[in-house]
Amino acid sequence: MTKIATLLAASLFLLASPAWASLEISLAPAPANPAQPKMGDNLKFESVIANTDAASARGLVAWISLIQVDPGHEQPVDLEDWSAHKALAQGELAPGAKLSVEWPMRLIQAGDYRVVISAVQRGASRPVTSPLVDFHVERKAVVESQRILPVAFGMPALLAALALLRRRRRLRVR
Amino acid sequence: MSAALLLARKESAELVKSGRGLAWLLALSVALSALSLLLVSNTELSLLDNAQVVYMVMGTVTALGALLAVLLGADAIAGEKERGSLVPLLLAPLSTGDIVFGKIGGQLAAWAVAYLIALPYVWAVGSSGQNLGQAVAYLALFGTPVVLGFGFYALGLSARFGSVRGALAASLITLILLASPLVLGPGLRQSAVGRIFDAVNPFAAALNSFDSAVIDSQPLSMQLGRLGVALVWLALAFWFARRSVQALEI
Amino acid sequence: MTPNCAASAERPARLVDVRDLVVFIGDRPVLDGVRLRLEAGEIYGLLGPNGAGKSTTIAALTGLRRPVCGKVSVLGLDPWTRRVALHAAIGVLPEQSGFYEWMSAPEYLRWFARLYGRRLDDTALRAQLERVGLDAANRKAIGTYSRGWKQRLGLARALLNEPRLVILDEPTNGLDPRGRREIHDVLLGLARDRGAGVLLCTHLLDDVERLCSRIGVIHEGRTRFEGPVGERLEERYLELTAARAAA
Repeated sequence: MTKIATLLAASLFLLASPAWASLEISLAPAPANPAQPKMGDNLKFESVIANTDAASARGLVAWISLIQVDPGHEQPVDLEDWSAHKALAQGELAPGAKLSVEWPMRLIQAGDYRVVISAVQRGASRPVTSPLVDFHVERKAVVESQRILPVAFGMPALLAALALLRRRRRLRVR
Repeated sequence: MSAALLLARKESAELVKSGRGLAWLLALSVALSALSLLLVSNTELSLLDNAQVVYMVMGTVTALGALLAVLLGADAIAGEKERGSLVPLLLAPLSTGDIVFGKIGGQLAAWAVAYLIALPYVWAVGSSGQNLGQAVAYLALFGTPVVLGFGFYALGLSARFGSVRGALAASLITLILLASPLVLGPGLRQSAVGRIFDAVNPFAAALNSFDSAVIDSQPLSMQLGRLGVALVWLALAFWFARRSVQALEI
Repeated sequence: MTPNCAASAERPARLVDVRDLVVFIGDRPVLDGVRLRLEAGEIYGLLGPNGAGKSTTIAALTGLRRPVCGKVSVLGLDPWTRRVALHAAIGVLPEQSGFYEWMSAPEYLRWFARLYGRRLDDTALRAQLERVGLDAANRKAIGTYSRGWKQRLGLARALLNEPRLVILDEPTNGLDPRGRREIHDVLLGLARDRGAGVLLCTHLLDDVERLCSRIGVIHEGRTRFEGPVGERLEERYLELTAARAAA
């Protein structure tokens, strides 16, 4: 009876298991990243996609996602201007093989962010994700009023002064 | 000194001494100051938004430069005719090329001064953002052929119409037509007709290059086609101006 | 600077030779058979009522209007195809002569002289201005000048390059009697002393009688008479220009 139950349980287990390889993804910021990144800096994230199964992972696609998590401004970020390396495709990842990927990005806007790598293989019903990595981007003053104000007021004032000077010289000649 | 250079120096001096040039440069400066002060009021800009503003300043400078070229070009022949000073100039030993290059020389000087006036604004707005060097270089590289092309075109119309009003109206209509797709928005520009128009429009070529270089950080090698459009525009407009002045009869 | 090679290589005694000149403006014939011959050292008066075609004739002679047919030779050159070389050798005072009003007279003449390849030093500039009765020390803008002063300045400009042929359209407009006499003396000196040819287009028959040795009368785009000034100029002029009513 016990033997039959064990055999039944094993069969059920085998039937319930997915027909795709199992993957694990790690994600960490690159060691060379600045300690306090600010707008305009370049960051890299390093991930390793490992096939921990006995079967190959076929039709593998991995991609990076970025989410802004500032309170009141939670939203996914369009990576259009942040990164040109948003995804990769790999035809097959052999059993036990590991795929190392770098994900570079340029920090366009200040705020708090979370980054995650997702991967899906052919036939799988759900993606596999890495742990979330949090980072903060310091604001850089791209609007420096101490530069703009003198120019905005000074240039017209200078040209107006030139025009007045010219007018006075003309009147003097007359 | 060549006759063309003599004429160009006279045109430049006239702009300064007659007050028209200074008035126009003052108007340009006020427009750019207004744009910059709007920017100062917004402190939450991202790098991208800042690049957008630099792009806007570059576009404004190019548009105002083209407008200035049209104003000067429309007056170049017809204005002198209306003031009575054209015939003595045509009776001097000047070739068609001397007259065309001399008149454009004055416009080139005006554009050069407008560009120099714009530089502090570009620096003030863009120095903390991205691609400031590209902004300065592209404004000169693309702005100059577009602006001078409008100058040649208006000069040709001035010679053909013989009236400042007529030449100015025709030039402004052309300028507005070439600038219209940018006002209509990206949706209309995605149609087949819109894409063709965009591809041959020198104004669009300049603005799209500014976008590519300053906002998208793309290299010059990707702008060569657009640079070609701007240079073809300049060549065609020069040819039109030369033919028009050559056929001029009093 | 355009070298005066072609004009100096051949120095014809006949400075202007025009035969059967036809000029259209649009599709309207403005000149339909003009003839004109001007010799070196001669002052030739070109007469005709308003709208007769005098200014169009001058435009054709100076390369500013293209003839439809006819022969036009000025200093041995075709004015339309050899415009630049011709302009280097002639001086012209058009009837409507505008100036760069922001310049002073010295600045204006110096600038125009540079177009002719000449640099006017102070002495030469003074001579050019005093020849036409202008004050070389006047630095005021031309925009402040009276009509008479502007006319004198235009004449100074026309004589800048010491031309072999001078074409003047109403040169004494705006001048008082003394000014007219001064201009007459300049023109007589040009023809007599320097052997230049002068083509004088004017309404003032007194000027014609005093200055000209030959005249041409244009009416309705056609030369009605060409020859010596002769007697009873006014009567003959009125007869010639009234011929339309008769025709």
